[in-house]
Amino acid sequence: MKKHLEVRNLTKIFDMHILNNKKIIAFENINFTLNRGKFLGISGKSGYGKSSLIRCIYRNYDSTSGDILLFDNNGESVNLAKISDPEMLIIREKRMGYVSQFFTPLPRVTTMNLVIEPLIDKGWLKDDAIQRASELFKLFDIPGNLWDAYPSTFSGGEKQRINLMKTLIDCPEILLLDEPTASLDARNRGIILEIVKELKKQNITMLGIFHDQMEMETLADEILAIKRPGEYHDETHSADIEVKQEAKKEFIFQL
Amino acid sequence: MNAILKVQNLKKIYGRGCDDCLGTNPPYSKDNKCPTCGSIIACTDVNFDVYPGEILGIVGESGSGKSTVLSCLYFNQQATDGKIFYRGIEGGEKDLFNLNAQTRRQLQNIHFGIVYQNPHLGLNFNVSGEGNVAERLLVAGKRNFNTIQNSVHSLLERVALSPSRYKDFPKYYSGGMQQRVQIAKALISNPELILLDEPTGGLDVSVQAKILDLIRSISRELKVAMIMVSHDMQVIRLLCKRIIVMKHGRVVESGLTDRVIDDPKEAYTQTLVHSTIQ
Ligand SMILES: Nc1ncnc2c1ncn2[C@@H]1O[C@H](COP(=O)(O)OP(=O)(O)OP(=O)(O)O)[C@@H](O)[C@H]1O
Ligand SMILES: Nc1ncnc2c1ncn2[C@@H]1O[C@H](COP(=O)(O)OP(=O)(O)O)[C@@H](O)[C@H]1O
Ligand SMILES: [Mg+2]
Ligand SMILES: [Mg+2]
Ligand SMILES: [Zn+2]
Repeated sequence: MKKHLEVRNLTKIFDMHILNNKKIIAFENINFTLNRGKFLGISGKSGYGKSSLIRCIYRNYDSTSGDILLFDNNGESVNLAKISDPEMLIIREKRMGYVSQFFTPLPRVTTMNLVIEPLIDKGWLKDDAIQRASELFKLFDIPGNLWDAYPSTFSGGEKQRINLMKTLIDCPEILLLDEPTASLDARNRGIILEIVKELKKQNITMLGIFHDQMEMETLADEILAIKRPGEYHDETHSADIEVKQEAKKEFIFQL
Repeated sequence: MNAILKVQNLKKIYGRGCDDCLGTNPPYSKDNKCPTCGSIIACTDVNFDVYPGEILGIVGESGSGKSTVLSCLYFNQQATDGKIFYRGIEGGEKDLFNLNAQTRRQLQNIHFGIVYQNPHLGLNFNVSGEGNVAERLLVAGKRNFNTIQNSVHSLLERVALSPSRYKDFPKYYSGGMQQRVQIAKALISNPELILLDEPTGGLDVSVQAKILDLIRSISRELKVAMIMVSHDMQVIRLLCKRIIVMKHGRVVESGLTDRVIDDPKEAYTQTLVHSTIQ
């Protein structure tokens, strides 16, 4: 078993200067290790910091403290909480994919162009990239009339599948999924679940949030259960933080 | 990965200056005036790197020093202090502010390009559109008429200026066409870096969209690095992977664009993000 991702004492606290310096604790002291090819599910009530954790790993949020170690095949690691922005951009481009809960399409970029962009960036010929994308469109059940349209007008399910596709076309070694099946009908959910299962077979390491407990249990090898959020109006309530930190001690449930 | 441009402690003071504002970390007041001598601190302690092929965004409110930074980099203004290093000159070892006038002109004419919000600054209004673009090749030392004309025309075609307008004077162009010609002019020398100061400011939204798409596709195709000043967060989100945020002449925050927008750390950035994004 090779270690792929290790998160140590990771904490995210938002300092809201525009709300009288209110501090919002997204999550505190999270620790886990994820091996190559494994799927770690993240569970917890709404607002407990699931999305924030994934965003910190992708560096869409800066962590407040702690380490995020990403290992390569030789056991060498980089700390995603500490590396420079240009280095993080390279990790995003080459190694890590993120499928957000909500998809914000680029204005005036067609589905096809959006999806082939990562391949073109890597130097693929346009025709080859289109060929590859067309195969994926079929796999993802995206009808032909949408290929050259703008995703901003698509239905939720179509958007979400395209969101996943644009991340998967240039297959990352580690994939972060934030509720990729949220607000989809049963058929669309089924398509996405099948794809995720296929990715598991291909040994892609994944961290995922799935709203549906059944989906989570069929996919996840392990589940990280996040407990108890905190929300404080100023530092004088710091005693509260300690109490809640206590309550947060037990973390990983093995399934 | 190596930066193509490194900007270190860039400072521009308008006015006499004093020991306070001329030093590093000038005292802070509620605007960009030196509290001791009243000089304007247009920018100070500005540090950033530009990487090959990226578009680096500079955002900030009016008067925060964004244009000043670009003007100093293009030598339109003389910086009060600071250093810049560019890997295309003496292997990036020499501070560009110490270059002789000739090498400086070479930087302006060949290695760097610039696109201004105000087309009067970037174009000669008494010369045709194609003449404006060709001029930059002439000053860069190109002499063969046919080669010049071919490259000018293919570039004007690339920026989608209609051929029937090549010989018209810029004053007869629409705002969008003027910006297209400015972009062609910047690109004609195959520069490694283009500075864009609000290139779509003052244009109506549909024209703005087309110019932004042009900038985006050029950046992806030609892999030329850009520094793009804008106060429109949507524009920055579309084009830039990294940004710096300025206020009162200082860099208050910098980072990955999506990080700065979704998780702004400084009070000013939080206000900026929350006031621009619905
Ligand atoms: N030539 C000048 N003489 C005196 N003060 C100047 C000069 N040029 C700029 N300034 C001042 O320097 C400060 C920074 O100006 P600058 O033009 O760089 O702002 P900016 O961020 O580009 O603003 P905008 O978004 O309005 O274009 C301002 O206070 C401005 O008034
Ligand atoms: N960008 C942000 N700025 C401020 N607070 C945020 C931001 N993102 C999330 N939060 C807060 O952090 C906490 C955790 O949110 P989130 O990670 O979205 O939870 P989950 O995904 O588990 O529902 C919540 O209190 C939320 O309001
Ligand atoms: Mg969430
Ligand atoms: Mg300006
Ligand atoms: Zn002073």
